[in-house]
Amino acid sequence: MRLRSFFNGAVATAALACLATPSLAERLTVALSANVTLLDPAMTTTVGTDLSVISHLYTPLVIRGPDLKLQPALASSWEAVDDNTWRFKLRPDVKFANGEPLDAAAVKWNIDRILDPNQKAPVRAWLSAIKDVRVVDPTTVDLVTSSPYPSLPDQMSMIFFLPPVWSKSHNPAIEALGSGPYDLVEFKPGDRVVLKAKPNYTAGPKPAFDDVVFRVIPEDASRISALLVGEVDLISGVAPSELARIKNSGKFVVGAVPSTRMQFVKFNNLKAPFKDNPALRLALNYAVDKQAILDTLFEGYGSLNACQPLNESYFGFNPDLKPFPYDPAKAKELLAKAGYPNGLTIEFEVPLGRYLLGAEVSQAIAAQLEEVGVKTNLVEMEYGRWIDKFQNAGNVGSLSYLGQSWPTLNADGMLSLFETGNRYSYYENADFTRLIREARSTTDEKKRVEIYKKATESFCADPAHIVLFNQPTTYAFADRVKWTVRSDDWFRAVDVQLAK
Amino acid sequence: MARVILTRLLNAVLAIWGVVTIVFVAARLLGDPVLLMLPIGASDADVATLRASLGLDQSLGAQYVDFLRRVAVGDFGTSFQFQRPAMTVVLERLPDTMMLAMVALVLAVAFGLVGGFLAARFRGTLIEFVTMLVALIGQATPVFWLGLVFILIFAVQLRWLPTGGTGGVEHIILPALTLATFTSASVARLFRSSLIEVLSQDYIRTARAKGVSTLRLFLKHATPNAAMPVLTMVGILAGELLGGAVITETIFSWPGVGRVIVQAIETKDFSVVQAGAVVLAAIFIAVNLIVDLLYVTLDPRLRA
Amino acid sequence: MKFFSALLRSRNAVLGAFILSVFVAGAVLAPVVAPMAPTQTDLRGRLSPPSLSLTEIGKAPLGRDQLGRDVFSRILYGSRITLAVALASVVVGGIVGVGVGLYSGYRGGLPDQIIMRVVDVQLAFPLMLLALVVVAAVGPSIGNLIAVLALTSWTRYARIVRGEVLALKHREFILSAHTIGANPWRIAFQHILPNVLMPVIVVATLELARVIVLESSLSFLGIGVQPPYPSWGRMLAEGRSYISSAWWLATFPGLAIMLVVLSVNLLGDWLRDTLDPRQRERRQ
Repeated sequence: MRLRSFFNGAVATAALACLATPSLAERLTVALSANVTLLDPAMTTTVGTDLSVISHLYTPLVIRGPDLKLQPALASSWEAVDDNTWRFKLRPDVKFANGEPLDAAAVKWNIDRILDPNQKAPVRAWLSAIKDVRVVDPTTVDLVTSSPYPSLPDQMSMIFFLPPVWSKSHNPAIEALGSGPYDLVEFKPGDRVVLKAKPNYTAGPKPAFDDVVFRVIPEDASRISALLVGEVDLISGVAPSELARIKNSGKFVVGAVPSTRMQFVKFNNLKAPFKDNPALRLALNYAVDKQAILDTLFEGYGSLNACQPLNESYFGFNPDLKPFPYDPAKAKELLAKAGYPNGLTIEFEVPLGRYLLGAEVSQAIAAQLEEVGVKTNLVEMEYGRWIDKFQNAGNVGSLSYLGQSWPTLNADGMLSLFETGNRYSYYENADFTRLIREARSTTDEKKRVEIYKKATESFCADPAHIVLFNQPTTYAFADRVKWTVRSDDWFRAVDVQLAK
Repeated sequence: MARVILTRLLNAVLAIWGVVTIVFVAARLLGDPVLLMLPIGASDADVATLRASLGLDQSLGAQYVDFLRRVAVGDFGTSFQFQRPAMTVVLERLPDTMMLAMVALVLAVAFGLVGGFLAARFRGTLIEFVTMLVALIGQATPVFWLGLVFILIFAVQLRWLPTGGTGGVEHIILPALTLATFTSASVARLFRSSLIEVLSQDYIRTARAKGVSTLRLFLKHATPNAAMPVLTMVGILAGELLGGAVITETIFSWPGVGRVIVQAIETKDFSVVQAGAVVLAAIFIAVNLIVDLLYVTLDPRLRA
Repeated sequence: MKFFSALLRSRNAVLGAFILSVFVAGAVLAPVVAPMAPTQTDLRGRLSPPSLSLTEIGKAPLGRDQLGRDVFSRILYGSRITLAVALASVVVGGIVGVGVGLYSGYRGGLPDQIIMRVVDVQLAFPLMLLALVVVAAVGPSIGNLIAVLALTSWTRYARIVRGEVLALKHREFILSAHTIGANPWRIAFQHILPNVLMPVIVVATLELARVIVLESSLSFLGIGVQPPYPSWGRMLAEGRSYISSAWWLATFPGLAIMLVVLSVNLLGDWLRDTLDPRQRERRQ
């Protein structure tokens, strides 16, 4: 009896707490599946958590809208003045909350800070092509690169600027003094980040929510429960099989959008059996029933990749290529041609907790491969250990389940992941490598599209991996809000409106 | 007495040194953190620069000596992931961890003592059977499953309690219950058998013969003696509740030390793994030291 | 004979022995009893609920999992892996722990001191983190899983055995063996070991139960048995994402764990009551 009254008491306190908040302030609570580690925009490359929160606090030069198109932010316009120089015209009125101007000098200070080796900034790798930052006047800045860098404006959508003076006396890893639409109210690592809208923000669209709370909820089932009881308003990365249940349990909107992440089973083409064996590489591509996996495990969400590591949202996508059909007979034929008429056994490494349904998909693929005689030894490993083998030791397993995307949505970056000579490409296709290097030497978009067309054809003729599909970004949200879900990893509160 | 305490303290320092060393070696075995810190596509030169600036290009021996020297003055280095001192990252999570462990410990001991008492008091009846069955089931239930079921029942169906996170008192109930289940089952079983053992001893028989009432016999004479092994167990349990809370912390989104260490293992953030393991080990050792001393003070035989 | 009649006298022990033998029989007879191979997937039939009509061919009595595999068959085959891993780690941990405990207690002096400090370190090191770090460093495999589980358990044997040896060391029969000049190893193995075996067996049964539960926790953290081979812990950990839409995925392996741990504990309690001479004396 006493226990009962205690519970009632707890409920009553919770109800009181709700009443206490002024009803005018609209609050949006977002569930994140991973921890927000820090708020210093130079020190993190994690888009889904750290950079998404940072984007509410600080302003980039350009910003990518929900339609994935670049929009002006701090920069009102930008152009390539020559092959190696990008010029950004800045808005004159943007200031940090303490009155510090966000002008060309502040931009230069931030980029110099990122490029300074002593800063050990992880985002340095994104900007290492920048040779010099020139302040032309307070509202004009030139970024000079060592070689033509056509996708630099895309890259700059991920770079945010700190106030130079304030940063000297504060630790931007846990504090924030921004120029963006929100102020930092509370940052409790591992638990939540609380933001409050700036009353007088004019530098961009006015956010619909006065308070935004990011809550870290690592366990999938707990995240769904939190949505169902109304503790959070929106979640993403939901197992597709749970979407229908969430929808049926009341006032929720569920769905999926195609992401920019390409899933595939990477071959280690540098060692046997894949080295110098194109027939084997083709055989495996015919052996996997990708559509069946999408239809069942992904409940029909997601779309097949058309024989290239790009999809429609990437610049340089080749619309003429078609996915490999599922054809086990042809796969067996090619296996025999490859010298394995009786099949073979290879290891299949799966990094854990990284991809939607990663464990399920890799087991389904393993079962399908076994049907044509390719036996696999699945090895699930923690992502850190796998990436160590993949990038450092150079001895990744014959197969790995992997998903890759390139944040600037440009063929240049994405295809460079398969460029011969890169530590992580595990692919030797001289023709392909020559073509993507050729594309890099010009800023003429038409010419580059032509070259990428040839490069992707070359890739398709001798694929570096089992081409699979785009991982869908699944989502569910309470119907009191309306969320324009993005297909890249970013979350921005301005993409959410109150319903009605 | 002073000698006993001094030896114990020395042993504690030795144990912490052992933990520090093991964790140093293990962290190095985890592999290279540099590649995880950089975005995919980083050049070899970027990798080399970062590695050198972190001191990872030095020999293992040099790194160890340097490490010990800094640990001796409490400097566990900077977490590259959090860009703050590793010790700060761990210590800011300690209050939540301690709170959860303490509430769970209180629940576990309370339920355990009551369960064990009931089973011993009503030996051979249905009450003993049911309490012990519940205790055995409690020990046989994987903690993550229990946590998820608790959320489904108490948060989603009944809406009595929140699904997770921190905040008011209501946030700690479910994680503490989940964490306490296994432990309270162990306490109940231990307390039951030690009560039964005590009850069979001569002085109890004498008291019984003198006509002391059963309840009084249990509460006044048997329980204090039978609770001694439980006290020893509390020391061990404290370790389980502190370091073993990772899963409970994950299920209930509780921002504890365990989770930050697991995240640090995944990202190879050596300094946080080291600081976290040392903090947890130090608390464990301190709790056991206190238990030992309490034992000496409470146990009439040892005091004499 | 006496052993078995004692077993039969205890209701709890009979129940425990019965449950355990059902599961052992299931493990042995898995190829005969299981309706499907445990790794055979059927994507179209995924997540179909349990069907009680056993007569219908192709129906799964305990439902299908997220890849359309038969949960019943996986539990049968899973019992092989779960029980084998648990047994192996208890045996390995037991042998190491007993050996260390015998040596430490019998030898005394500095080696004993060092070993006890190592035990302290191990106890102070959070167990789950130890397991995570070790597997993150050496990679996941059944062998490493057994090693990690054994690593978390040897200290428990070592402490008990050392305590018993210390108590025995000065008993007359040991001292007299000493005076007639018997080899110390011979004394340890012939005279001391048999006397410490009973508490070791009791610890081993309790450890067996603990290790089965721990294996499921390690599966939750992603360092359990590798797919596609089923272990109950792994099935439970994989099924937890479907806990509200397909309850049978997590419930049946969870029940299997619960029943086996329960039966092992029942047997362990009974063994302790029967074998531990101190307790036996007291009961008389």
